[in-house]
Amino acid sequence: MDLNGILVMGMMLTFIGFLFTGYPIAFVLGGVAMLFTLIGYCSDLWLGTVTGLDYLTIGLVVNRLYKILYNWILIALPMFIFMGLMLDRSGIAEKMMLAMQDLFGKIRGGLAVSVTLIGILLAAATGIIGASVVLLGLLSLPAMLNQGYAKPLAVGTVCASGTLGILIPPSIMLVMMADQLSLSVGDLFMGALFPGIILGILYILYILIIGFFFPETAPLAKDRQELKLKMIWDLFKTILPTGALILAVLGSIFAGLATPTEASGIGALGAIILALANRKLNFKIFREVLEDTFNTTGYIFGILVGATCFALVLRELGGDEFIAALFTGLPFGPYGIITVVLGMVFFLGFFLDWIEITLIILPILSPVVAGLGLEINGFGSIDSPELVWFAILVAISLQTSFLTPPVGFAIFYLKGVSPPEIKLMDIYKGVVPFIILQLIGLFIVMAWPWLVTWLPSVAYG
Amino acid sequence: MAADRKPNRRLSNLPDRAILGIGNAGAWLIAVLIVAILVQVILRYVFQKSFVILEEIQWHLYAVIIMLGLSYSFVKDSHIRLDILHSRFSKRTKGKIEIMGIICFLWPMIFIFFMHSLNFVAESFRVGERSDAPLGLCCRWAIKSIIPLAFFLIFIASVSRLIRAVHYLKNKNDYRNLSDGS
Repeated sequence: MDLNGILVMGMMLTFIGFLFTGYPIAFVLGGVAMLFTLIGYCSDLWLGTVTGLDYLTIGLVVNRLYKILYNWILIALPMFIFMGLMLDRSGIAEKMMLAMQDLFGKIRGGLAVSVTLIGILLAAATGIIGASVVLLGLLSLPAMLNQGYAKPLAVGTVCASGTLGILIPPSIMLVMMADQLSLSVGDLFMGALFPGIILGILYILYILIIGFFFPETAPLAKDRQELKLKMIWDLFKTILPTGALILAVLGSIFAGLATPTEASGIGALGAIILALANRKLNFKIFREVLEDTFNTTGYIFGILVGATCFALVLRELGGDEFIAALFTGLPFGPYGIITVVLGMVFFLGFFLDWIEITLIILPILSPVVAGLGLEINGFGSIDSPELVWFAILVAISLQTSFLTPPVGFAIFYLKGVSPPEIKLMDIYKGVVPFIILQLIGLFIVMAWPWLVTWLPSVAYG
Repeated sequence: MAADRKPNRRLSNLPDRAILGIGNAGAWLIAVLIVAILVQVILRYVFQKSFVILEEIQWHLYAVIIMLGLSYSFVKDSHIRLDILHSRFSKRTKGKIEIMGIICFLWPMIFIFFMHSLNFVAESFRVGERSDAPLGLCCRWAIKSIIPLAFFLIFIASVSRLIRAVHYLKNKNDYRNLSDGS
């Protein structure tokens, strides 16, 4: 390993080391970048490396930051965050929960299935994991426990369906990935649709099978009613507005009618209207949602700023070539390398959020993946199909990693809102089957890339 | 992310309150941005018209929102931390980490951004930089100056927190003022 390699590794390890102090990740990223600018400068002076780092070079971070500000794609981000937080407060989810509970009362595991379905709808609507896991947990855990569900099954369902939000469009993570990889937001949104639905179906099948073979883990409701046509109608009425909003946002992007930014603005308006229609909106709530959005936007972009510094210095130190060489040098063949890359993403997901991984790791790895010569069928109409496919695989790996003990983010969000009788161990036990389902889903998408690339190609073809 | 809904701690000092005030006002820009996007959508699809200025106002608003948001989340202490170990540290250790973090990580970063962005703004002002589009907005320096301004605000907030952390470490019993960041 040459001197540059040592500096690159040193920078990575220093970053990871200081992460554990618990100082905000955004500033650790920025601070370590500044530190290694100094180290690179000194090593140029005394050790004969050619990093070119000095006071002027590091000043380029300002130009990089300006590029983040002067950016048409990322405008959608605060809008989608607003939409998610507003829907969170609109009381829509509670209504859907009640309606679905009646409908699925007669099926074993029906309650868990309705939680999953609501999770998928919420996922599409909010796209923020923290928000959807917390909301879903508050809504459905008491109901499931009252009905006598086994704790692991109940919490596992909530964790897994809650995290689907980062995958199912419109997801803010996919917007950011598109920006980093220079892909079209629409391609990624559409590419994620089938994989997200496949995962949802896997969850539901699992719950039904468990309910069939181990009836005691998923008991029926005691006060269940006969299925009436009116119930279906009620359910339809409650789902319709949210469904229509999601369809309007996604549909207008997919149909090429609106840009993602325009669609996000419409989504924000739609969320306001839904909250109004539900009589949940008043001045105070509106202001709180604005302030929450502002706060959330603030810390997401904090990491973006820190990561910009980090990526710049890492590149100057020769990090891009170093890491690319590291992966392309692996003796595994293209699919083996992809597996190693996904394994690394999964591992990093234990202690990094999707934001850092998307901002630092993806830009470095995407040339590696593009250079593997994978023949991913883009059906002749989407740009860099292998990157679209890869981005979705990364998204699934990340979601899995948020579920995985000991430190998955979803686990902690859920622990924070669950009743005290639920121990951390119950959550650990509960997520294991869902992690296996995730891996199955990941394998399916890996083996059949057209699941990702077909939909975008038809829409634009 | 978990810190989204954290109750607003009563803040006793002026800098923090000032930044929160700016932030609470800035949050309304999000509502303005929604309106700007909707107006554009209506003009474009109903009246088949589009205005460059309107589009540029959108990213100007967005830029101000995210840059002001940085200091706001700093005061609210919602920047994401890896809290596997952090949540188990004593308040004293947390206080020390805050002090070291601010001096060793945050300040060098703020310094670089602030100094270089001043030049960046000055250069833009000197050449009278404006939008590339003929009908676009003028005075690019104005939006560019949000960068030094934002980092100045974070600096103020960090000084305020540093003082509180030092104060806490000196007076063991008085922990009310330390924003503990858990």
